[in-house]
Amino acid sequence: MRRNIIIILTFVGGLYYFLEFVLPGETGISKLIVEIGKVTLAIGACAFLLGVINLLRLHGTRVVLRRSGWHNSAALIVALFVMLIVHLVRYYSHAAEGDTVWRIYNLLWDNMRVPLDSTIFSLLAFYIVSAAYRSFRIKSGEAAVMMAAAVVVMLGQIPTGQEVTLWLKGYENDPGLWWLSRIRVDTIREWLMQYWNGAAQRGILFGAAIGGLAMSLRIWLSLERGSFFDRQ
Amino acid sequence: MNGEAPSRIAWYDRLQKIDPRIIYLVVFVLVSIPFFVPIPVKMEVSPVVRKLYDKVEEIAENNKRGPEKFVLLAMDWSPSVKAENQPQTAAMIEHLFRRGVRFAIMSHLLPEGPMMAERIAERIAKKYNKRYGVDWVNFGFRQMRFADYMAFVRDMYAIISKDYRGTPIRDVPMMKNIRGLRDFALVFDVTGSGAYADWVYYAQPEAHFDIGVGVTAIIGPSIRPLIDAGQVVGMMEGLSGAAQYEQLLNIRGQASRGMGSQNLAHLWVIIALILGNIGYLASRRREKKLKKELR
Amino acid sequence: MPEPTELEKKERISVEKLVFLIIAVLVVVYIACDCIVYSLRQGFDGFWERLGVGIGAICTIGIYSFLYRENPIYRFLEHILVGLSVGYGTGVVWTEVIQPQWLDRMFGAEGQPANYLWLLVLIPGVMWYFQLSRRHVWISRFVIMFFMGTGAGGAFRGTFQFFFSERGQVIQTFKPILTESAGSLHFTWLNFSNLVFVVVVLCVLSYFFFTFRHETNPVLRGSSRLGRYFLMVCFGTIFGTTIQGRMSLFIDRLVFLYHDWLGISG
Repeated sequence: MRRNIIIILTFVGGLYYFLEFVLPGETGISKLIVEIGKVTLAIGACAFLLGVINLLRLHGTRVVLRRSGWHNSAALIVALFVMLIVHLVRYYSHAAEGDTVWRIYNLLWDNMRVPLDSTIFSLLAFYIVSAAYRSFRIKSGEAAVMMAAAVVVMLGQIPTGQEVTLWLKGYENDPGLWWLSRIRVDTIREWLMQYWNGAAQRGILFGAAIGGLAMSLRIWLSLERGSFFDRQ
Repeated sequence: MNGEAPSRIAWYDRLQKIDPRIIYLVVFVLVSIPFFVPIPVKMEVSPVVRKLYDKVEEIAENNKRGPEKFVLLAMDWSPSVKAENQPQTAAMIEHLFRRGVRFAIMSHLLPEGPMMAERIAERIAKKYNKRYGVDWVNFGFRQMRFADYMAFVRDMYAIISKDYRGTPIRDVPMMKNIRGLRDFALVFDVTGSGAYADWVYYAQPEAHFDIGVGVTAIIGPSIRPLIDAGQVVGMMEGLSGAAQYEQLLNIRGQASRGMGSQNLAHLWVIIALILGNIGYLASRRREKKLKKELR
Repeated sequence: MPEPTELEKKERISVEKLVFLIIAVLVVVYIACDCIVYSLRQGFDGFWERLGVGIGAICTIGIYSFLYRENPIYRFLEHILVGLSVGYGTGVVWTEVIQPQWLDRMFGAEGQPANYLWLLVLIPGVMWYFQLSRRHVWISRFVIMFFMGTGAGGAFRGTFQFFFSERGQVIQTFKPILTESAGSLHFTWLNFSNLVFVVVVLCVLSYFFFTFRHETNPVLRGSSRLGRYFLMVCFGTIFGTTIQGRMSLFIDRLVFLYHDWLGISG
């Protein structure tokens, strides 16, 4: 019974948007799209506490039972509530620039959140260089092609690489030697990116789209298997 | 005391096993050099950046002659990709303010983007004497899944009821001239993920605006098929894209200043690749030679 | 090379701790001096601004300490980041979605009449939270699957508009490989590029085409092998741009440390 209700809800949800797309506008089916959107926005937003509850369960347990690393979990919970409370106070008190709440909010945002987030991602700069050095080996023809393309793209996107062949730009309007201007590193890079990479990406897009469409059909018709779809 | 000779590591094996901390240190030193010894850089502007620039110029020119069109800045980025997306946002806002093209800021995926873009807009607005509500507006973050997004595309005001500062949207002076998404000639999506897909898949066929993107360099290659098809009119690809746009604007912003470091870092990566592969190819040659001798 | 003894390991760890401590003390002393100097120059505003920059520098250097070795400072800062991100995200959803799009509509605000029918949103809204209960998780599936259904239905629209509209991907793959000019046909550089484009698309598609066996079909075998090479070019370009992307992240952090914190203008 439950499964049937779920199947019906899934089908009806998808059916509306499918019909809205295929049927002409005169049928009036499109008039509901805005009202449905307003309601689904509110329903979707109601899930905002799920992540918080999960985090509190995990880290709260660690703090209460004093498990290893509990002080880190305590810091997480404190940071969460401090940020949330400061944000809400700033919003509802209409705090102006220079107010205490505004200062604290900026400290948390500009001086903690932004540096922490950007710095963690910037660690990747080191890892990609060391990974490229250690594992990018020309073990086959394909690897050689990949490396050649990578080097051309890297040289073509930096000023030094562009400078090396910039002098060839002068041949652009030469009737006999115009082709020399096409073998500048930045021009080759642009050509590779647009015509080779772009075409390969399009081929990948086609394949992914067919797979995505098939998957969507399976979900819409509840033919898919997995934890959301099967009987409990 | 034993009689064994000390073991020697061959040069080609040493080349393949440089300590990663040395690699990190070289990266750090090379990227730091331009901060002490400024390296002026001039870049060739790529066609995709030029097309984006020309599109904004076209909108500005058309606004002088006909009904006013606006630009929507979709700020779907977060602090983790600030390094590339922030200079792109700043360059675009500078161009829009300079040419008097009014714009709106919003995001439907990430809450941080509109706030970070607002800071940039406020900073650059002082240079051009622009005022919030008159020359630009910030819709803020509206988390939208497919159904809500379709409602937004059909009727913007159904989803946007207040601006970022809590003012009812109809009370913002600029909004008097905006009836819906069709009044936007260009959507400039700045993102470090696939957020542009929603605009291309669902919004563009309905509202018929052009789409420009400012993306992290990693995503740049995947935008190329869209540029080829005309679904995306132009692109700023990573820091170099932003630097090229700044060059077109004749300003030396954050992106241009960062290209000196990019230069040296790229050269080091190429050298590291070459060193590792010289060591690898030499060790492979040695192995083949040994196998031949053993036969 | 012989393994280090327990004593040697302990000595190394205490040297590392000493180095970490010295760096930490230097950073804190610098920040304190910076704050004092600016408070003398610009009062509380100057002090607060420099304190903020100093805290940002501590966060940055603390995260970079991970490059040497995993350590408690990095772990602590990582947890702070998660807490701040979730707190901010939750607050923004409340103030920018729930408050204006639901509560204001339900209770009426700024000229809008109250409409208590919006209370019904609570019923599907609360269903999300049954994911947390092992026994009643099936209740949450109603709302999850409804949203998945709407997304699946919308995929048809997205796919057909993206691929088959006037600017669609499929339509735009049909490119001219000859140009007509002054009554005759020419093969220009653009035509050559278009030909390359079409060949690459077809070869890449054939690489993913599994309806017929590649081994027994010589045409398919050849084109899929070519497709593999073209994919390698694609991956090489992605690698090249990834280097730029990752370096930009690090450059941005150095701009903060050198320019904003230490005042070195380059």
